[in-house]
Amino acid sequence: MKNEFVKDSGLSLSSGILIALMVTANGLAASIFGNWISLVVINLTGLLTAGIVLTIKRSMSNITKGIPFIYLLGGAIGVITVLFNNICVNNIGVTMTMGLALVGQIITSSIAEHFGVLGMVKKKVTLQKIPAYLLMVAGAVIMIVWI
Amino acid sequence: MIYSLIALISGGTVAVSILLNARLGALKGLYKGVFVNYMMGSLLAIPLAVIINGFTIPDIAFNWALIISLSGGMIGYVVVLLNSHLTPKIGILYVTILLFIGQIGTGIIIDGIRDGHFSAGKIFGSILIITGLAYLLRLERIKSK
Repeated sequence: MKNEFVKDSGLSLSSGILIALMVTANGLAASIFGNWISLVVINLTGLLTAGIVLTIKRSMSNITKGIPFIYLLGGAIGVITVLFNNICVNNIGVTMTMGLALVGQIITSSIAEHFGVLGMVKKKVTLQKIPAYLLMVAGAVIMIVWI
Repeated sequence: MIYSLIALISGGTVAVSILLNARLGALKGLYKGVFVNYMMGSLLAIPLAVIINGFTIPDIAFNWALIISLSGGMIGYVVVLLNSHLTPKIGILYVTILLFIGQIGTGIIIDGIRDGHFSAGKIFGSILIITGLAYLLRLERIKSK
């Protein structure tokens, strides 16, 4: 059980390493193909990979059936994420792009959870949590100011 | 400064798409969910590229950089599968913090190689962000117990 936990923790770390490599690769795609065509390249290679796996698993049917429109927007919003990441990576580097993005992500998801958006379990932003947010914002400010 | 703001906003878009894709995955299953995610991405990216660029394909040399640049979409796919396999096993809190440590550690090395030096500000800022994140996750863990 303990070994399993260590293995899964190692896998989580590796997944983080993969994300950094992905952000770097996507930034490279943007500098080779340009910002807009790189978005097509990145999404089509992802689509191709997902399509191959679905074909092997023989589940290429009823893919879009019964999906509420709003759930489809996740992929579309992902395009904005990749575009913004690509613009940032080539200007402020991988560390700052991911560090600041994490702070933005935590703040946004805390606000969403505070109000229970889209049926999420409500988690109020309590006074107790404020120091945690302040630490993260301070980290972001230091990254921006202290180059 | 403007790039810092764009990076912050990109994190906000990540939060929203994670929320929507989690719903999509719960409805259609993980594999179909990821496929639909990339399909919608392509359906938006193609017209955007045509409208803005006229889809003129730039002159591209076939080399290692090109091969690496094509790997981002595939790596993204592997990451989504890996994370949804790990999250129910060790919990979203641990996954989030370990993911971030892995990302930032690698980011610092990549930036160090690219820039030729390591930035103390980036390292110190990352440590503060990780500390804040760990504190927040700890509070939520105590609360959920």
